[in-house]
Amino acid sequence: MLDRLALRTLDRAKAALDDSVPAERIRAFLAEALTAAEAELSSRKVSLPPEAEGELRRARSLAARLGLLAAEPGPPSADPAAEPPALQEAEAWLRELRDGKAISRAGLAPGAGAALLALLERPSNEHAEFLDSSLESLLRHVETRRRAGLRLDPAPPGVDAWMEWLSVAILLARAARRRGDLRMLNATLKLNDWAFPVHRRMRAGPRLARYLLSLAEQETAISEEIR
Amino acid sequence: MRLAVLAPTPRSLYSRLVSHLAAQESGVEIALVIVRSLWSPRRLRAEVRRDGPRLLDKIYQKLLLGERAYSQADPESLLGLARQSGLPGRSLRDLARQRGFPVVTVGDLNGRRAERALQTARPDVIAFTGGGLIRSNLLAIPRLGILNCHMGILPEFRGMDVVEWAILEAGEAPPKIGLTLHLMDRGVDTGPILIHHDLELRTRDTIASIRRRLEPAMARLVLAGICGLRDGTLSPRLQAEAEGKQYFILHPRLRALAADRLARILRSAS
Repeated sequence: MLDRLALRTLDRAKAALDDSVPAERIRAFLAEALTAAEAELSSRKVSLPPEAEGELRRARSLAARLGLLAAEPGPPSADPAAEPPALQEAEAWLRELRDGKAISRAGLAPGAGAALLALLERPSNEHAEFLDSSLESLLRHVETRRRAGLRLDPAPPGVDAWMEWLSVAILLARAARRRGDLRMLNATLKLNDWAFPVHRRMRAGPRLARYLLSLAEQETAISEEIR
Repeated sequence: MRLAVLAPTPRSLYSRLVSHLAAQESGVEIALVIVRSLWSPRRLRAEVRRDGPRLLDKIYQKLLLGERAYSQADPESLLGLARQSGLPGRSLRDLARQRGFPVVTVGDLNGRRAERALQTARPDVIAFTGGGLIRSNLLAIPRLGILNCHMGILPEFRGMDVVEWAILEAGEAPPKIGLTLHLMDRGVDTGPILIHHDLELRTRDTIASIRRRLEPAMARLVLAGICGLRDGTLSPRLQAEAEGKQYFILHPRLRALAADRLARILRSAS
């Protein structure tokens, strides 16, 4: 009797502490939010900067490949991270990087997610070691510092920490796919779960577009593992 | 040989078994058992941060159910080994009274109190049976080192949840599941390796049944390490950093994937 009462109390406490989001809920949210964002954009209630529009298009294209939305006509959207200008920007970012580290105990260097994604997509021997050590450090930071570690360092005014950390989630999901490293996917799942309560009621905008892309990358990586 | 045991809780069945089995060995004297106090805000904070909601499962299994968490009829469980070996009492204090060794309760295994008690006890070996990370201030105290039994094969699988991670990483091949007895160093599961124990999968295995079978093997492996160090028959093998990866607590979706993969591996093997 006492055991049962204790178990019920602990179950309730566990549910309250549990920040993981079930797969069905994530997938339903992804499909609904993409549909709603598209409707808002096509009715011209909202307009997005070109980068965010591109992210939304890529999220849609991945969601269609996953069977969450109807397939769209035409070729899938290209990923700018795989284009030469992204690599040039990443190299410029590297030159300006303080301490030569993408992540420190104090937080993430702004721009790290996008720059490392460009290096991941255009592999070169020159940056291989930096990329490997940065991915490992990011993984360790997310896993050990958890939510408390989702900070920027430096934190310049006007730079949105969530935008930067969502770029990291996209990077880790892509690294999981490119390198077959499930530890990266594990960290993506956690980052996206922590982001869920913050973004689930958000209206179409750059932040939501990036979150939807991050979820679509995550679901793509996981579906490739399940196959 | 003088042995100290570091225990996570006063009633830890694993710690009691290791102490009990070691106390029966000739030439092994338990110089001290240090128990981490159960209720401290610092411990609670650290464990909530590390384990999240799973901490509540641990509280239920280990503190509320205790020995009742094990199937009474399972001779292969930790409780089965406790019964076979005649483990007395319900706590480390009960065992200490019977065997005549001192027990010290501390808030932090790495704190000044634990450090001083260990320096006074002058152990040749420390057996770590849980209770958090060990800092460098303790590493230098025992003459031969601190033994830890890791529930995974080192150097490949360092860190947490490595039974599941080994299954996920195996793909269609048989997963590398087992235990590694090693000496602790400043890294996470990076210290010199002493003994491996490989687990053979059975057709009806689940992740829970694998863990259940590994638990008593851990106590036996720690004992084998204590005896091997006493007799000088073990030669530690250094690990290179690059030989393995560190794994972290699994997300529930990957945990479910690991369970599915195990079932598939077992189906294809049968």
